[in-house]
Amino acid sequence: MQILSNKIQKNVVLILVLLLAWPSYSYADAFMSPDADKNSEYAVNIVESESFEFTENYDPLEETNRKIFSFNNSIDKGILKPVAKGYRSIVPEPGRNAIRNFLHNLETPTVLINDMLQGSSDRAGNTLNRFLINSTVGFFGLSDPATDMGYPRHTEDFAQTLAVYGVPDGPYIVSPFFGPSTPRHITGRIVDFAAHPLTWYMQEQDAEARYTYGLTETLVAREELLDVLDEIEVSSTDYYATIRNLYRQRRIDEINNGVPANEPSEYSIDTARDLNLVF
Amino acid sequence: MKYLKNVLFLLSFIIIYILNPNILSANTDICDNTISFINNISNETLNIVNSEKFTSNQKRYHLSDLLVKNADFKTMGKVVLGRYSRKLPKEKEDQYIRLIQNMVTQMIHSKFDTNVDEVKATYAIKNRNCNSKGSKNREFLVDGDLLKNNSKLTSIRWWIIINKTGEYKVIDISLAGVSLALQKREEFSSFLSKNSIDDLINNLSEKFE
Repeated sequence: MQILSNKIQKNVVLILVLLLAWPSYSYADAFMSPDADKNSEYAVNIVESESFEFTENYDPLEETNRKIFSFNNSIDKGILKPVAKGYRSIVPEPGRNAIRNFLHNLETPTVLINDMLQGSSDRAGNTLNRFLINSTVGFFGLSDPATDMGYPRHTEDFAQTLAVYGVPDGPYIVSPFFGPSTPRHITGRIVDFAAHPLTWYMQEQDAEARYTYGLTETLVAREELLDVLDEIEVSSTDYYATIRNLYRQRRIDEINNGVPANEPSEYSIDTARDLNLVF
Repeated sequence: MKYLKNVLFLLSFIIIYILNPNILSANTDICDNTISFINNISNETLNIVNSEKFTSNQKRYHLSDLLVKNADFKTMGKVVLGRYSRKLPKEKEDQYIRLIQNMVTQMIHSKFDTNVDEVKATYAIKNRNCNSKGSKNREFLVDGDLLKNNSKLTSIRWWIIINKTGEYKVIDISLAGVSLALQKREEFSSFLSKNSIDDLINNLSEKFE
């Protein structure tokens, strides 16, 4: 009985020690505690720490990336952006929406395959329903009644599938013409391109049809980003760094299917240390 | 058998601690208040954004006013400056905070600003759940959805703190998984690795003053 009592005491002490030592201090606490000086010091230490920089921005090729980014930017400013503006001024909003919807509908095989590879039967069903509804009721995908019927669009690609299975993304790379990327994303693009039935169909068409499809896709994507990119460039102190960060954050969101993490680790000092994130 | 008793004792201790009604009700109350605070801001924001009587500049002005009342730009500014926050001279602090305020207002305004020929859109925000962080129940994350014409446009996440005077304040907004604080933090960090903090303030002044 004595031995049991000693053991219980030891366990209670252990629990108390664990509870007291549990790292529950939050980032915002450090700024607002009445014990301001001491906590400000703590907060500044955390904020200033190199180890709290966002590890996702792993960019060992920054110097080369910046040069390619600058090249891409000049191509964009000289050719793509003016053409996208022209497209916007010539084709009214409903027409642009129809073309965008049509192209989105053609993405279905890529999205569906990757939904299935990720084991997301619900999302695969959603993709299939969208395709059936938009290809019929939506007149070959030119309109998007599926969204109104409760089947909203989502994106999926092979790079996201690789991420779901734990393949790391690797360093940030700016590809000529293609822009922000990572080795995982580039691999994904190649696999998606090779696996898409349209790629094989287009091989049998003449060069004009192939180029028209590719250029239309690029033009539609650029037109969609006209205002967003203009706003970012105007408001940014370092356009390259902003695009790099936006690319990383967006990709993480896409991989998580737009669902914020249940445990908000990026805001918690407790887990930030383990994950090497800022907050 | 002794081992089992110990385990049971430990489990009961942990369960009592976790299910302490005071702890639970305190968290629930504060989270309810947080969601209520965010719902008020969401509604006020949408009243401005969806209003047909305001011009674009008037919307910007009212959004700015709303943000000043409900956001903690000082903390936001520190978070965004990161390890460079110590280099910010005291005499430039007010100017820097004002610039951050102008920047955030402009960025939020641009998210809702529509093309001239775009069909008029109606926005709504549904805030769903709240997670509290930290030992003092003064830090929260509220997740919700931003709706455009009744369809989900994107997810939205608010980072909220309760300041020393007990007021709820927003210190970050994430839209479509993009945290404004993280974005600006990296941008400023990159800029400051090659320039001084004065250069940063001058750069921000040219853009947002």
